[in-house]
Amino acid sequence: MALARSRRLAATTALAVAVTAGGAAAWATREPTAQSSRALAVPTSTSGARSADPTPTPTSVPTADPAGRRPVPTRVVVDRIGADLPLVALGVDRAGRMALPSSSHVGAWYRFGPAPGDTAGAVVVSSHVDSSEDGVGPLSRIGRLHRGDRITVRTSDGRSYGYRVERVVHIDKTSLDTGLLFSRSGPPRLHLVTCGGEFDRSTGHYEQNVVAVAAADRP
Amino acid sequence: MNTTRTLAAGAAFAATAGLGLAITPSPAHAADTATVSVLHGVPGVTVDVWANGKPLLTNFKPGTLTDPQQLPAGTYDLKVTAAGAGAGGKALIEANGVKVPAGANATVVAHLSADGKPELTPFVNDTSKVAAGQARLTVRHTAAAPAVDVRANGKAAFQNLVNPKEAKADLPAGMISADVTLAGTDTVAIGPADLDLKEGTNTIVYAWGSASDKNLKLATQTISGLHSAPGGVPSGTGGQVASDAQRQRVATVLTVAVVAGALVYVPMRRRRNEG
Repeated sequence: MALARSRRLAATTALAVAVTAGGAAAWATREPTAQSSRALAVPTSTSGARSADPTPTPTSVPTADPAGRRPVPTRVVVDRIGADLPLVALGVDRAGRMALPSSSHVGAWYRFGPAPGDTAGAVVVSSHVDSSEDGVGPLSRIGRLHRGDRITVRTSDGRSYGYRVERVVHIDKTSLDTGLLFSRSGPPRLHLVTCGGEFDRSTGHYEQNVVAVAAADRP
Repeated sequence: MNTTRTLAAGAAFAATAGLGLAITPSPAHAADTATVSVLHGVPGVTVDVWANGKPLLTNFKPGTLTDPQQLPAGTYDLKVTAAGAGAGGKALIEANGVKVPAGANATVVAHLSADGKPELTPFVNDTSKVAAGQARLTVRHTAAAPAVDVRANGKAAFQNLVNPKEAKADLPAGMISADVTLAGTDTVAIGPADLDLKEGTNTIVYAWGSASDKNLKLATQTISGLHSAPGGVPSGTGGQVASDAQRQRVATVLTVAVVAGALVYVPMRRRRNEG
């Protein structure tokens, strides 16, 4: 009788612990909560101080060549997550969204927005987190980036531009402020963009965008 | 006609602001301004522009476009004379008691009418946003010439445009080759010229001069900052990351639960058995 009761007690206790531990594990591995698009906004206090700097900063930024073309980004390298992707310059798709290569191992630079070396605005680089064509891409690990991690963008004129991660933001696509994501004003920065959150099989798209916001190194 | 006179005043004031000879009208609030540019499109005549009897713009040469100026709203008497004619000189174009309204973005063109007489025409510039990836092309006929067609990359873009009218369209950004033909014919009157239609801009092309004097030309003005952002970033089509994450999460939760339960259950049973 005592034996049966002790067995039952052990089983009940073990079950309770298992449920609690499982619940804790579920909570610990939950999807990141979506943030407001305001997380993409440039903090006016610090950025204002920088842009209001009265001393003109001498730059060695290459200007447009005689034909009106400018150097374009050709590669993005993020050592922390082992990402090294070739980039192509693209504009918009037929639906008016940012155009992307079909491969999750090739990135796009939004060619109508700022380029590395421009004195203001967000350079937007994106790649599919995964594609039905070639599976999971390197930017699927973007969520592992931490403040201070380095991102390098190489351009067609052989230069490299360094960026330092400030934060990683998860935003529901339904509330994404694309004006902030593709901002052409404010301090020079990089928005490294991919998808995240739940996958909606009915639309074939993810419900969130994940954006690493990174400040440009001072020239 | 009222608008012509009104904005002509703005034109004159734009010129003065550009030269730093500000003639201050009635005190204006910062919000009470207009953005005005001026194009001189009368061939062969270098002019002076006068406002309220004072010189606003001197030695203004044909084919010159002033930078856009923020002008206070106000009232002006305007006169365009030949350069060096003085304040009392003969008016080539004149407009008195005209008001400069707040809020407008306009270009005032001194040009020839279809039959060759100098006149002032204000055009309101379309500064509404263009869709991501697009550029706006505006074409204005301000030449002493009959109706024309405008072709872009060899295809008809605008047809039967007459002086002093404009036509416009939003197009994919990029280089185009444009020329101007006599309406309904392949007879090229101007061009071809390469135009770089930059994304998020309104590129305004003026045909000016005189067909009979064989001095038809193009002048170009660009208004930037009209861009829009793309509608989104559809950067995931496979669903594998979500599936993988889901599978991994289930496995993690089960593993943690089983291990935690076992860590409690096994020692309890062992202790009981030993007891």
